[in-house]
Amino acid sequence: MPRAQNFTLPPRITFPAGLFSRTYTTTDGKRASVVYHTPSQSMAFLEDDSASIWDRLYQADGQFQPALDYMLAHGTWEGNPEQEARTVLTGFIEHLWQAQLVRIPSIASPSRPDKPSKRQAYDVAQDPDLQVGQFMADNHICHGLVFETTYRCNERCVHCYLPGQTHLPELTLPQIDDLLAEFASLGGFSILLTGGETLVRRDFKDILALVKKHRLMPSIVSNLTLLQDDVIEAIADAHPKSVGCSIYSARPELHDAVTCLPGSFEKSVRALRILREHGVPVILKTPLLKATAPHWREIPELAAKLGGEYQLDLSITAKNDGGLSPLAQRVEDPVLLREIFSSEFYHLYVRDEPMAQLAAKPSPDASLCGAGAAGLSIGPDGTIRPCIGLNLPMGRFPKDSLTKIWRESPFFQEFGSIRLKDITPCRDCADLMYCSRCPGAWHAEHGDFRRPAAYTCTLAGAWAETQRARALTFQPNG
Amino acid sequence: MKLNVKTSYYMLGASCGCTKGFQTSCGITYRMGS
Repeated sequence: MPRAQNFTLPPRITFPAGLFSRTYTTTDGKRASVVYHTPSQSMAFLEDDSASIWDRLYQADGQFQPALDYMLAHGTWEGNPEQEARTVLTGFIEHLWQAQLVRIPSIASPSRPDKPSKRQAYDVAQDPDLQVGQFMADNHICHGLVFETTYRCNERCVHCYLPGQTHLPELTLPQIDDLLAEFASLGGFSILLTGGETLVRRDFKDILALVKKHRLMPSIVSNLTLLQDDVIEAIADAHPKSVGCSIYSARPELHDAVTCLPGSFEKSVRALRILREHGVPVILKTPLLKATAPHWREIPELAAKLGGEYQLDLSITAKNDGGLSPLAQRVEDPVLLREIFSSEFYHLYVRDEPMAQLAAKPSPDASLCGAGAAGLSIGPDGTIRPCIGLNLPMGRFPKDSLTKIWRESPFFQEFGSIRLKDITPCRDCADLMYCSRCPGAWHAEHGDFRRPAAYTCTLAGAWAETQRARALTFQPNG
Repeated sequence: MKLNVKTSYYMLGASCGCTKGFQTSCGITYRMGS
């Protein structure tokens, strides 16, 4: 990162609204700090001395002395230790300031970091956002929670993965308070509030307040059709990492045909626009269905108009209870699949190099997936699962404590020990690099999370074919 | 003392609860061969 001219150490720094941070110390004494600033979509992953110094700055509310004391006590210095330590600290703070993670009173913030021009794929060595997940998994830290606040929903989407029985008892606010406290004590940092439709809960604002109380970084998934003015303010004030909204088509009539709720498109899009006006990062989540997929090109255009991002998804799964009705909505047309996989969304790069040109292949010793690796999923009634997509209940909160399950459940040992090489059709598959494998989806479809669903292989094959064809024509500076 | 600061712009949707794609609900990317 280029140094600003004449950058000098200010008297102190402050931390911007929407900054979430936590510092971890592992059982073997390693330290790491996770820092996210959601309004600018900027983040940092700091290790060892960097983490210790960041933590001292953060805990001291931007005062330098505790950080300088640490540096003088732990560093090796020549000549003038105080001056050298201040020089190192100046460079450290300048870097964080450039990344928008700290503010300097009376100096305007730099422009936001450049957004990557290409979608980068699984480059753990280069991407601090991925390193956070890897660190949490390696140290078995319960870092993320997916919380399905309710299974009730005002839409009736034709492909919904939830079974018909949606009126389960739901955790109360005091129970949610306890849940989040326990999650935070385990290392909790991020929480996704989803449903059902999470806004049908009349206490949604109170849930957000609890998220804030426990200093968790929220994300929200909602159809937003029930968004009221007071909730808009509460969401903006919570500085979520993102608000995801299912938009099935840029054509209102097609979207509403999926949700079976007339007028839902207009309501969702209006809400997305308002959230953007409040500075909330939004993402259009678009499962592509047989009826909507032919018009997929209109989704990126709509996202650009709204100032949001988008996420296409072809992996329509069976219902959680094994019901297969959603599968009829899948896109099966090979020509259409190839067309969709030729979109920018599916062009993935590693350090600006097309993925198809890489020599690296997934290791046969790779994990099957990340279910339970660094977090848990909680259903409306407190059912604890390793992942929202893997319906293997491990217990039920509050009867079963999150801590006990996180520390003692045999799931982590058993599932975590499964390797790609254990999955017969996968280990020699040439398309594995493009496989969005999801053992939870396989389990829902046929009851065996070790056996791929044929549709997974269809998608991987179509994606691989498209990307290999593209790699042949790739010009490094083109 | 050298301080190593790794910062980046992060992509939305990577840890949004969707279990599909290259990342899981918890943001873990499948470990690649090295």
